[in-house]
Amino acid sequence: MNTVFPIGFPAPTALYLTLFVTTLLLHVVFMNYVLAGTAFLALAGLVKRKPADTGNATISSILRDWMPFAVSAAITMGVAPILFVQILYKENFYTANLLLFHRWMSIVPVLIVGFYLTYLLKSNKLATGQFALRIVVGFGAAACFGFTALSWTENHLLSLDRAVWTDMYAKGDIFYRSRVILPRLAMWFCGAFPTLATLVAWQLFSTQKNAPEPQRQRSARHIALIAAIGLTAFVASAIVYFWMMPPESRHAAIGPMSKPYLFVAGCGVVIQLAAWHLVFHRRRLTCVLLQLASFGALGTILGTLIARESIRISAIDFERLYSQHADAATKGGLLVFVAFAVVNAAAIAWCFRLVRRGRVRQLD
Amino acid sequence: MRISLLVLYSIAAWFSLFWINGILTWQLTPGGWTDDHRVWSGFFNASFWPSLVFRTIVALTIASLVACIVINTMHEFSREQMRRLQNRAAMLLSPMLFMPALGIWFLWVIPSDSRSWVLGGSAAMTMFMSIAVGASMLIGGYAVAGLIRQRLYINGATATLLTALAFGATAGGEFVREGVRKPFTIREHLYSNSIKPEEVQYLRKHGSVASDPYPLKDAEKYPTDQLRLGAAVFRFQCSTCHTIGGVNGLTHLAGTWTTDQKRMNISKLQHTKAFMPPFAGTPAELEALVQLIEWNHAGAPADWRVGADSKSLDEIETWLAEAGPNAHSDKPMETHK
Ligand code: HEM
Repeated sequence: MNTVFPIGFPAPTALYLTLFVTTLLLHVVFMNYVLAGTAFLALAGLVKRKPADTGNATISSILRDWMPFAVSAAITMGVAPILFVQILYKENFYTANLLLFHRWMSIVPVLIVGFYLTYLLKSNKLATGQFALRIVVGFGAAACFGFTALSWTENHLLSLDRAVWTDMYAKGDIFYRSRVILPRLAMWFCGAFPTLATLVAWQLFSTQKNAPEPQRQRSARHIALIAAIGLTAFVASAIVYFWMMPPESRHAAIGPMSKPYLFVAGCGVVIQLAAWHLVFHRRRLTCVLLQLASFGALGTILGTLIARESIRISAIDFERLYSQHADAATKGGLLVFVAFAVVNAAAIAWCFRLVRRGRVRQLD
Repeated sequence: MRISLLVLYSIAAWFSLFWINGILTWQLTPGGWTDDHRVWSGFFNASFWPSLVFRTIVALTIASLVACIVINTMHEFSREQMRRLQNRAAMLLSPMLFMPALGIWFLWVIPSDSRSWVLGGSAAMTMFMSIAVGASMLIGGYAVAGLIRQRLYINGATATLLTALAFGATAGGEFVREGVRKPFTIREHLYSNSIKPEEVQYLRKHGSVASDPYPLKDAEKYPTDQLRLGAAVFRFQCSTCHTIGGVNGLTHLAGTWTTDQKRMNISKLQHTKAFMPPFAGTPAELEALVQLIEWNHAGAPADWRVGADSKSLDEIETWLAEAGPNAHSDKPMETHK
């Protein structure tokens, strides 16, 4: 396909691709908060909780407070793309699910455990209490979400590697081994930190209005550092992953379908780095800089997701599926989907407002 | 704030029930979807409403009983305060009074063969249905007589026991809900083994596993190619519901039949047991399956004969033709809408 995503596809296919990428983007935003946030909290657990006026303590306390909500948001935001991925790719997606089987299904109990561990992370007793317990809970939660991310990556890569399917089945293997899994996972993991930094920075920006100046300055520098290190590691792992990909995937990633979006992703990285650089040096979070960082982050995620889709589309016989997409589009229900998407977005926004107001009142 | 969040949460949770209920009930009574294949014709199907209201009441019941357990853990309350709180929570049990009517409504609208299984046609389904009804009656009786009329205090142990009963009843009900769909996953459209009714004839002619790209995991354990073919047929057509020698195992169910009995009963599978789909393979595949069952029943010996001469294969072909390609219940759905 020599046209820019999603142009050039039949209308129903283009519609489902757009819906998939848009809804997956929302999932990735929250997923990033969870993946990077729990890793941050695990590391923060190595040191006893500091008095509330240090930058790190504020970042961790926000993370601890919001993590259960973020986990449920990440999970529920995964539902819409999981529906669209099935409409779009069918056999490839299902086969990978079935081959990984128990390994794949284990993300359900693992996510439940991870979810409850994020509640434990909130407890004051744990934060100030026994070191060993803090480590078990902190690293336990991070491991649960890390494992889930690994499973999605493994599933995605396996779904594109038709050549190994029968052999894997015959051997009864429930682990897919490929040298690109780790660099790809590293890319997701490192890329999660800049998103986390942006979201937490907004939270700091709106809750720290009355905090003492030194504390605000420290938080601003900490968060800028987290973002900058994350971004650099993301770019480095993306380059490693790119070189380790099979050549066809590499061509697809930088092919006409995703080239403009890769440019957007690159600009996003530069804009984010610039915004965080200014935050670090000015030692303050401003609305304009945070808006810049947010636009940059969205651009980077969008570009990455579309490059990801271009690789998948080039790896499978996608045209064969067009007629099934067209068939799905005749069934109806799209209006209701859109209506509920709007209602749900409003409900989530309302939840945010309620909880934020409650938290501000608590802090006051 | 908490109350607002809780209300929002319960509305959202109920909507989950609403959507999933539409999908589950459509699988059993696809109704108008059969003709126009439109989402809403299938979603608001004949069993949608009774099932939706019934499930809502089940959710209220479990919530109320769990609340009674939680109240018992709140030691800051006096016993009298706990009792009053529990009696308030128990009001959520009162809609259970509508359960019998909703249950009858549900049974009324489902296909007649499905209904006949829970009403005695299938021992397992009838038993699970009875457990669900019995447990619900016990809970309902206790709720009305003890909690609502006499306003009794209910201790943690009793509340836990009642909750366990409620979960038991729910499990029984779900077993029945899953069971009455057989032999379909989507009534009239997709059999439980993922074969579509319109594919049966083709598979009987061309073979069900001829183009299966996946090798057997344990091919070397079978002494003959025929047994390997039988294992592939078993995997494709039977293994979604059966094992070979374990739970619901074919050797337990059919091991004692004579060879000819197996050939005929499997050829006429949908008549042998109405909740099974028709056999969808060639006579040679059917014979291979028969041999697989016999070999396993004989203790999986190292040597095994190759079964069936051309006469038996012809016989199988005749039986398959007599049975026809449709499920026993493949007829216009007899639902009372
Ligand atoms: C908080 C736990 C979760 C984490 C950390 C997580 C992480 C990830 C990651 C890293 C990917 C990208 C995989 C890749 O391209 O290599 C992904 C994709 C995806 N996730 Fe999640 N995920 C989580 C929970 C969920 C849940 C519960 C669902 C569904 C309800 C879901 C739905 C999806 C979907 C549909 C995709 C795209 C799959 C594809 O395109 O092949 N995720 N997730």
